[in-house]
Amino acid sequence: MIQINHLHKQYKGLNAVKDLSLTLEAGDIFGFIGPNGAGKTTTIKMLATLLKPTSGTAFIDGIDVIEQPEAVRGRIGYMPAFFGIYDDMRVWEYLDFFAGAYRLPKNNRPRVIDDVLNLTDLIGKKDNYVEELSTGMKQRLCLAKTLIHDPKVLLLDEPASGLDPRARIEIKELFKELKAMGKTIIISSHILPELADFCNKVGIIERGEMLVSGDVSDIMAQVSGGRTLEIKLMGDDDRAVSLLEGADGVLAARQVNGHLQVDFSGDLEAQADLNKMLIQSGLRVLSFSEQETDLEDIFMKVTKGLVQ
Amino acid sequence: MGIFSNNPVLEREMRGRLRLRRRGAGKSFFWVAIILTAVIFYFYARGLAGLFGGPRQDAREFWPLLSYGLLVIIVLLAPALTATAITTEREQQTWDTLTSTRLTGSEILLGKWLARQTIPAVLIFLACPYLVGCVIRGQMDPLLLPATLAFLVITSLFYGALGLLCSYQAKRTVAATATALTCMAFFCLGTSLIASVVMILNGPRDPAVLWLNPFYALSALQNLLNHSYQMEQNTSIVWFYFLVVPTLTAAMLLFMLRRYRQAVRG
Repeated sequence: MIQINHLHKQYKGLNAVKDLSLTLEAGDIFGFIGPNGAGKTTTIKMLATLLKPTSGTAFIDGIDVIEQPEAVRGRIGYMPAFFGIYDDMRVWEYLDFFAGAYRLPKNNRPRVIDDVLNLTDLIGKKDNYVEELSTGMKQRLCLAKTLIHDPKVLLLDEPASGLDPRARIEIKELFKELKAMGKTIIISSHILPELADFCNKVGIIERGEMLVSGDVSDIMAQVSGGRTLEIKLMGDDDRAVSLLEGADGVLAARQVNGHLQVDFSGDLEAQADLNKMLIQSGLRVLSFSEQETDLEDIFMKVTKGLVQ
Repeated sequence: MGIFSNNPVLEREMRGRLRLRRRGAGKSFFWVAIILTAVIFYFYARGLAGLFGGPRQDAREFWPLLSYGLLVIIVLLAPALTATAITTEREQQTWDTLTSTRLTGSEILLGKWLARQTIPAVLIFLACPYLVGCVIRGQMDPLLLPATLAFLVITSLFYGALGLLCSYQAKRTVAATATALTCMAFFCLGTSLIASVVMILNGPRDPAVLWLNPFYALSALQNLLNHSYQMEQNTSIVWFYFLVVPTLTAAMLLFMLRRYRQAVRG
């Protein structure tokens, strides 16, 4: 659905995006992670046909973003990171304006407007002026506007920034609904828990370079270089460390806050054998578990340059 | 969908310009507006009746007052109205949202340009019965009416395009408005100052830079149709104005559209 090949954007000598390549299938939800100024917005703007790449190509639904921007616009819904809303209009007028801008036939518009208002839970505010809406509601209205022409691809740039926790949860629920509808979504954020729940693919970008991208599970394995095991023993930690360091699949073992942390590259069977070995060596094992790696860990490792 | 028909930008801008009732303004504002409109209409009708029923000389004297008055309002209003068109979108962060839709550059830019001509157009429209009255009652050349109206329209479109160009190029509304009004001041006052200096240095003949001055050009048009002095020079000035000003307007619009297509690729 989205194919980006060696995309490059240069601003006045500064490389905002460097050699970025990415492939997304229909229905993928891609979390675009990176610190502020990493190049997320520039990439999204290039896909949204608002910026011309310096070099490289990008295709959305098989259409060249550079050669056929008008055709691409009908297939994408773009929600910018910082957006304003025409506040001198009623909610339905605002959506009607964008329905017109996306060339929806006039007689279809009332039904489509009701549909997107229902989806974004704003139907009760249909006749209100936009300026009367709360920040969270405005964010949902902007999303409703983004969905008005039923685009196949959604480009959402920091969609939950500036929202209070309740509004953030509401908008997350909305994203899950969009995922269920089969939309292909690129969603950028630097707030990682926002993305962890519903992205099946992620990409981490820093200083314009895509450091890592792909399936969340693959990246976790790639970044952590295997699993990290947490072992809690009843004493004898020093003996355990020396035993573990000689065991198969153990990359490193260390004592951390009263328990052992083991970097392990073996499979599940080897993991079970390791546990058995500890017990057979007379060590009293209180707990033996795999440490969960989340997006935040990956982000911290990758952006520190631990992964090349 | 085109620039004129089913153009959401044109419709939204027109609605915004002409919307009287806003939330918060309340019913009292609405009634004040109604009463004010009625009072204005009363004096408007009374003035018109006075013009048709009054002496011929009054009608002849009223004509320049009205036409130059309209020109003053147009050169002030047209650039000021369009100078806010794009910068406001940028300032309220709606520009990216707007340009990422399927609207073309022509629909957005020309829609804004034309919609913001609404107020000058309404003023010209309201002045029309008076202008007709002056021509009929004052027994003036009938050609003066369409020629003056055309002059006012092309002047309004030119200064509107000038304001829009400033708005397109500037980042802030204040800068755009200041630049647009400075350019307007150059055409209306600066050309006269330059002409004065040139005339001091080179002799009494009016230099060509003055031909871009709308007041000078309107004066030439009226002198031409009133069969006053310097017929040949007035003809040249009028032709020059009627050719150069629309050409400059078109050039400004084409420049903006080209820049828009390069930037947004619409």
